[in-house]
Amino acid sequence: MEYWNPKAETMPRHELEAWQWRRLQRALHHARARSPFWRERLPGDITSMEDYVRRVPLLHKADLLAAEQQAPPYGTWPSIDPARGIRHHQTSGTSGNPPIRTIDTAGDWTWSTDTFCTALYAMGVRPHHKGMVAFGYGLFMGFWGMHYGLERMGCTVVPAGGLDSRTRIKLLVDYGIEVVGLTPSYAMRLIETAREMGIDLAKEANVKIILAGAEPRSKFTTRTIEEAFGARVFNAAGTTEFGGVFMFECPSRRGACHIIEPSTIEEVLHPETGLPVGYGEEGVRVTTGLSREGMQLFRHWTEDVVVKRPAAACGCGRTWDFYDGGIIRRVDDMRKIRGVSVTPVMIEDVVRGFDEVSEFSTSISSVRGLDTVFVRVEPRHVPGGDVTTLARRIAEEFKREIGIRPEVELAPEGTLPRQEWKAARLRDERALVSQP
Amino acid sequence: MTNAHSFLSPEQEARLLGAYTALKELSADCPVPAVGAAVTMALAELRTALDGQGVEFDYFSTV
Ligand SMILES: [Zn+2]
Repeated sequence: MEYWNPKAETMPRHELEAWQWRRLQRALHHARARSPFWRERLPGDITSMEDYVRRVPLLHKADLLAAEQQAPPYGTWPSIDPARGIRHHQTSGTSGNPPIRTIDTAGDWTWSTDTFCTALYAMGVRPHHKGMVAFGYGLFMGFWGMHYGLERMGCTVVPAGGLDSRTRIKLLVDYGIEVVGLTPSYAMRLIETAREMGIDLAKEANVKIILAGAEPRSKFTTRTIEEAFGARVFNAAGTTEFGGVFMFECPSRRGACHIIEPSTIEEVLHPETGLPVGYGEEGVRVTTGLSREGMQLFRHWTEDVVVKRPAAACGCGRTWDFYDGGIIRRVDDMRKIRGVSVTPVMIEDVVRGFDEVSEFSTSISSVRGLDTVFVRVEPRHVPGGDVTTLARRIAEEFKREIGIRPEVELAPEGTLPRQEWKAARLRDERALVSQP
Repeated sequence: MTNAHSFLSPEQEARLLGAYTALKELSADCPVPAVGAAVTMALAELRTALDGQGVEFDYFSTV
């Protein structure tokens, strides 16, 4: 096993935890000295990790938005003079909500880039590789760090922003690109485009490593991408609020996403009681950033549902604990349908299990007072497949796996939305109709 | 193959910190924009390298 940073990645746990505590003290001191927002929220005399967890309130998105509103665009949150920033990014924002905006210094941007290097190196990326980042290169932070990380490692980057899917496929094939960064949803789109072009990616392209980040995915989606590209798919995630990658999937154990612990303290709390849960139990990820200088996070309630396991359960030698399966879902992803808890990934697991499905979307509506799941499926012809029975087979499998019988209908080719960034395949329309 | 035990020697660590300190002094009083920019970017890189090795130094508010 080779590591990007052997000392940090294999540091004994007791040393790592002591190091985190020193880093936390340094971060707290900086925040109280420089950020009006943090000066109000952070006690000045925190004596231990336990004391920190007990006395520092959880930080919610609404708190950051309120701080931003004090003096837009960045508000009272930054711990630096924004004029020192070399890079601005922001989240997409939702209806009625402004985006979260962040600024990074040269030092912070380098740290952020280094978190990508840590992840990419673990996945097997080396300086002789060529990489392509298939995303929009815009305001959203997304894969910007992957572009810079590949450069920093000495790889050759082929920037593929602002290109359509056919051009990206052609670049992959023509340049023999080995490393690709994208979202799982967009990987599925590229697979479909390659099929339309009559290109067998597994045979004609040379992709070996795919960093598929940014959204929860089903095991079928991962398998489909791996088979179509003939490559290994790795999970990784970061957020605009955090400013870099906080976890990456290890090649030694499928689904084990190591936490970059020198840069973050990760608590996992029960979604309702807010009390810590143990290893192996589901809870909400609460993050404390230890490395970013400009936009600091202390006990940020992320709404990501995770299951943490001890580092030793992975055989790679890293001492960083891991999230098993990465981000399993978002807290608000869970829907109750006729008393059954359903998540988008559960539905994806069922629907993507059928080779004949090219794209799909799901909605939940109330029909004569009864919650009903509608699945619209765009079929494609595959050898041995039978589209005429597809709807019935999906409905039966759905009922068997999830416990509810959905209404499945076939949609004409090319009519369902495709997205480059995070896909929204589950729409809950019950709230819309029940509102006065 | 593993590089699990590939650490910097204390001498190498000291040289890294020395380079950082020298560049920081230069950045505080650098009359040439082109050199100043190069020094800022170099400091950002050295800062990440030192921090990743657990070296204690003035990590915050530097570059
Ligand atoms: Zn591992």
